[in-house]
Amino acid sequence: MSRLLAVLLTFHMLGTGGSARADVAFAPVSLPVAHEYSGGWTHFVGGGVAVFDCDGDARPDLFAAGGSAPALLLRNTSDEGAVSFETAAFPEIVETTGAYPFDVDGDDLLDLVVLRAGENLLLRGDGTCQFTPAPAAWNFDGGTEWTTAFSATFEAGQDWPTFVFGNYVDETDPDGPFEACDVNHLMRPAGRAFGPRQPLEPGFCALSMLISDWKRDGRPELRISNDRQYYVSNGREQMFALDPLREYTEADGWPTMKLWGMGIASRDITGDGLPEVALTSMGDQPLMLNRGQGVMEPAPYDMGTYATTPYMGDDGRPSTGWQAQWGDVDNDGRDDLFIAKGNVDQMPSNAMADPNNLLMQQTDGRFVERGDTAGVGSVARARGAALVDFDGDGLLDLVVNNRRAPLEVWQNVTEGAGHWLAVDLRQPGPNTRAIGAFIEVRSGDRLQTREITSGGGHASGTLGPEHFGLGAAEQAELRVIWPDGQTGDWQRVAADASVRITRTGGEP
Amino acid sequence: MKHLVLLAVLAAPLAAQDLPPPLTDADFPEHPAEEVALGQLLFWDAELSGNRNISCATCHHPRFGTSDGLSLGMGEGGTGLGPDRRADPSNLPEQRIPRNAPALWNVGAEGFTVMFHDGRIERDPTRPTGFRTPLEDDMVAGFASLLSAQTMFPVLSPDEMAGHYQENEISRLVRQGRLTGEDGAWAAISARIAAIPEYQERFERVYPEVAQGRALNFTDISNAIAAYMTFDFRSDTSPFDAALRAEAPLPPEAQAGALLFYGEAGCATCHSGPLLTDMRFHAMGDAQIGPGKSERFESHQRDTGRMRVTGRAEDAYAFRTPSLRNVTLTAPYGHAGAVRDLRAYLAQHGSGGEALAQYDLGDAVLVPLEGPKPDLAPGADGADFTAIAAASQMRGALDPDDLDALVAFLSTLEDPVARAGGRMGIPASVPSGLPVER
Repeated sequence: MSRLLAVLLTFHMLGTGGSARADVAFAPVSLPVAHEYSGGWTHFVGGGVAVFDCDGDARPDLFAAGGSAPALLLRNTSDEGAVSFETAAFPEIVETTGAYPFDVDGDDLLDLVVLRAGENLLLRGDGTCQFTPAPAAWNFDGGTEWTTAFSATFEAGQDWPTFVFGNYVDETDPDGPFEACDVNHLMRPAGRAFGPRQPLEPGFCALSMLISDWKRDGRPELRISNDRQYYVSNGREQMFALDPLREYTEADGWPTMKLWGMGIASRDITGDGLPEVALTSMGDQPLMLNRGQGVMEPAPYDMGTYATTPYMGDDGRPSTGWQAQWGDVDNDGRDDLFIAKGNVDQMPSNAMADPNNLLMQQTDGRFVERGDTAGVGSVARARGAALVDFDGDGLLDLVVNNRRAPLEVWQNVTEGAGHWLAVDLRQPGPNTRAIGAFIEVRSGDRLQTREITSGGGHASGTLGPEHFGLGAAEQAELRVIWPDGQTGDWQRVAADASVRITRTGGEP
Repeated sequence: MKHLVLLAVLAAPLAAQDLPPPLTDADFPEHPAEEVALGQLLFWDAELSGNRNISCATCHHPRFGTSDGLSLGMGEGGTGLGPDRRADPSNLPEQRIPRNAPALWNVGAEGFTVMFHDGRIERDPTRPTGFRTPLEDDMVAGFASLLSAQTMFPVLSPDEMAGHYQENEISRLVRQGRLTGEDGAWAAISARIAAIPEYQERFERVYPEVAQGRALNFTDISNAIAAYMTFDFRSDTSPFDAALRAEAPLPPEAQAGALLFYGEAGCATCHSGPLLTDMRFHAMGDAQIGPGKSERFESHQRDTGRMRVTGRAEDAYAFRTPSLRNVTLTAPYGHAGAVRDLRAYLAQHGSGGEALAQYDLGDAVLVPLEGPKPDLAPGADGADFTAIAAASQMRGALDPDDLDALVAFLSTLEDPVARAGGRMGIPASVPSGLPVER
């Protein structure tokens, strides 16, 4: 027994002593305006951000939903090592809940899907951060619902995208707001335009949606995370096959799970190529491990991802999670998990001072809270968020949109972080951004797999170069599995650079 | 122990300096009679509850020592009083109230600085407002006292008074998380009260600002109720009080228990001062029964007490030291009311959690209610008795003679005023016209 203990102890010491880890640190960035996500009950949920390069300067720009106040567009004016923004002209749009960037028409200029409590808007980008309503010929129907979730893909053989909109409570239901969830909608292509909206039923007050090829069988499916606060009892977390459109049931092996679901973050963190999903809720924040064959199971509690209650301050009530976001913030080659936290508004059952989480993945695959020491444990009512390298220095920065509190941006100032790589995919239209592709990055004996998706989070979308931490590796190999399944060759790339992989013609 | 006690009795009778100072008028805020009378009507009026079926008095009734005679009460969805309370089949409660309804004796005293079993409302000089409340920075202004702030919260609890989901306009706002402001739950309750002419007239007489046209705020309601509780549930005329004031010695049969209480048994370490509480939090190893302090999105049945307020691991399973005034009238005992008999409670209270393994649900007083969770779930996925015992600060044991002596002493805390149901009694009717629970 004592011998066994001694052996374990040695391994343990090797495990921690063998890798000098950087202390992750973030510094607040002052913004040109104080922007809040505000408004009444309709804006208790929502509060998304969209991060995308709208002017082609390789510095991602920032849209922030405003709730009852106008939405905000900030142009990224960062120099490497110094994150900064300036306000940009933007149409005055109120009642926004969130937004997702997307190249709808295949012109390689990013457009913006703006979710609203009321008619959703599709804004066409011109490559200079000017936005105009989508041409009538696109036949976009914004509906009138209270929209809080979105996901999109290109279905096989189509040259126009498929959009899915998740709607929250049907405010016109006189018997609401409880057990009054609205239906969701699917918009499929009709040539090079949208066809009519199809109802996607049943709806259970969706707060996040993600189309992902989570089984890796080439048939992406639609996950919907739903808010039990309003569906009350007769609802569940949903998974739909897209073609033909059909909701999975327990008979298909899809277990019934009920959450106060607010956000979805998909990422392979176990290294088997199958994406896990981090879900947000009240209390426990479930991480579902992808075991293959369509089986997802809750992560063991000691993995450290549940983030059930505040980890600092003096409020012991359960947390409320919103955006979950994966990213390797110290570039050690292991993805970390950010969770935006904050009280719905005045729910005394849950913590009022509810700090955001920054859960750092350790060498043993467990996660340790560093939100406090990293400086991002704001106790504002956080909602949408994004981890994006704003200044091109290879470190993921952070933006968080807060309800009834100012928008926050932090620059990642971690010293001694590892090497990194940013990978930006392009292919000929219509799907210029290769939604549905997988990027594989190999360094040493580690394989990182990244799916390009549009959707998830909490009303927040990011579209741009994919960031990979590489640890000590000064180079890596990468290949792309394009959305149609064609697989490119492994190619060697030097670390600490952003590379664009452009697919030409039929040859990957 | 027994020998030591006898020796102590012989050697050193309880001296005046061993006892706390008496309560005096200075310990109690004074309120005009009209304010107290208004508060009394509100306290007894089910108009304050979402479904107009439960008043403050339902679970804080003088017939049950200002508690409800139950281990764990049944709030919204029950009918009847005390052990006769029954679930209404047409409006079934979802679960029991997770903690024992605390008695209200002397809650208006200045020394009563911590409210609820976990102190989630308390005086806290480290906070800008001087108070901790569940709403923290969003808490409204206008409450006149800590007790008034406390009074603002049971009306917001779906299981206690508000009701569930869309049963009524108040429950709907509560579940949406809309509490303050013009379209919040407190405003909705205030509007109900203001719509009853007698209340509006009485408020105008009591609070000049209301007479001058300011709309009724919920803090007006809670201030009046606090004034009433301060007056009606003042209890400082027990034999114990007579001893504190040196008007009469404790009865001979209580002397040994007093010596134990203020001496070797160490009770007064926590049950200190004239209110017999230090207003602090201690893990005592009490049995946990019922749903636990567990939201609908949680599956466990734990009640980690103070830790759920502060988030500090060292506060796990700690609860506020209860005042012992009129303790003989306030059974059952413990934060979950797990033990109905005072002597039996003291026996397990002194055991530091070692008695938990033998806990029998028959010691509780529970009315029938089918719930999704069992009333007794000692396992790690339920109430986690092992963790409760491990956290307990209590060590040692009391022998039978000690228990008898302590019960005799505690009986001197029973005030004839409390036995009679307070100083004012039950109102004949309330302005809403709703029935008064007698």
